Amino acid sequence: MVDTFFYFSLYCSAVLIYGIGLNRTAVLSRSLDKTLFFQLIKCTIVILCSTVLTFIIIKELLIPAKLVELYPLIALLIFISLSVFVEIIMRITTGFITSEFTVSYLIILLTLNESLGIIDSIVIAVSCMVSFIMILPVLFSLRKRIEVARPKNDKIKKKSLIMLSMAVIIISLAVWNVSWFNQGVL
Amino acid sequence: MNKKSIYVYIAATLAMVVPAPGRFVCGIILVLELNFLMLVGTFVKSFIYHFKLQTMENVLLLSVLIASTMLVRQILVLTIPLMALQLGFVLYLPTVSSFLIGYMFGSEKLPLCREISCNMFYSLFYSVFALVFFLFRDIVGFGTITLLTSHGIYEKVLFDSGKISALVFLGTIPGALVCSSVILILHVYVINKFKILENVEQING
Repeated sequence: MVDTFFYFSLYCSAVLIYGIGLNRTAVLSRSLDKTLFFQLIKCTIVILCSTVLTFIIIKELLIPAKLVELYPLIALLIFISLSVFVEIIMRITTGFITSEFTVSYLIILLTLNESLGIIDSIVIAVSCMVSFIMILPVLFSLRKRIEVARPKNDKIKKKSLIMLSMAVIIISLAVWNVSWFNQGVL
Repeated sequence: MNKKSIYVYIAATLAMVVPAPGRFVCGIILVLELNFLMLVGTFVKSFIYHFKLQTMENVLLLSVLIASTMLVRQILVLTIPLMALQLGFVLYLPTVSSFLIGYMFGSEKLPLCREISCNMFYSLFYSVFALVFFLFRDIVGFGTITLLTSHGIYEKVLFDSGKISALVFLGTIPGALVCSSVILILHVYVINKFKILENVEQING
């Protein structure tokens, strides 16, 4: 279980290796404020609940009916229902808009693809979220560093520097994996 | 190309092109899928407005897009199972990309024909860019060109991959990130040069 956690949060980060939310991280890392905090809390709650519910439905309904291939649609419907419910609660209690779709849905799909049991799916979902959360402060600090060092850069130049930095982070994370240098494995 | 469209391209590239395997054949499939989804999405959006179902627009549109992706996946499983296995999760990236969702939910309602032509124009234009990007990664990263044929995947070896082992990096995700950032920097450089030329012409004129 610890192996799975570290695998999906570090070695095979959902953001950096699977490419889930590469764009969202670049956008969200602009400022680490309260909205982001509530957005991440909402995402985590919705992802965990959706994953568990979808997993149960797959196991109890789709597998006996031999309709496993329909799981993305079931996951979407459950995700939207839960997301709207949690969003309403968040808006009433905190006043922040925390709508987010792409990253959450892709993490749910990845989790359902890779997991073998409910506990496994929870661990993978949490580790994917951890990988997403971990990269935000890193990119935020990189962005600040670029702004301080080269204040005259326009937004596009900053974006390209952020992309280069992300590439360096990926390489440093995957440095242990020598298969990257073998032809035909990618 | 204005600044807004550059951001759309950056977002779409990060969401769709960078995480995908750097093979031209993968690019062809993803581009076909993107165009198919754009077409289906535009039709469904028009259907929603025609029958005044705007309150259910988000759920309906997303469900149809996901169902269409599942259809594409099933077609791949039947025709090229190897590609379906290799792409797997990547097939869902165009569906939830900001490119598709942005054009589906962001644009105002136009007549069907005009909306199809508009959306397909943007989609095809981006497809050309994505295909060139995939082709570059395939040739430089692997020394091959991979194509779709009636018998499955055809791989044309252009040169010995041993000679370009250092460039295999471009076939990976960080390689694709570096490529896209270099394209961006080049784009900004060229635009700035053109601006200087324009300013010089204005001063002389």
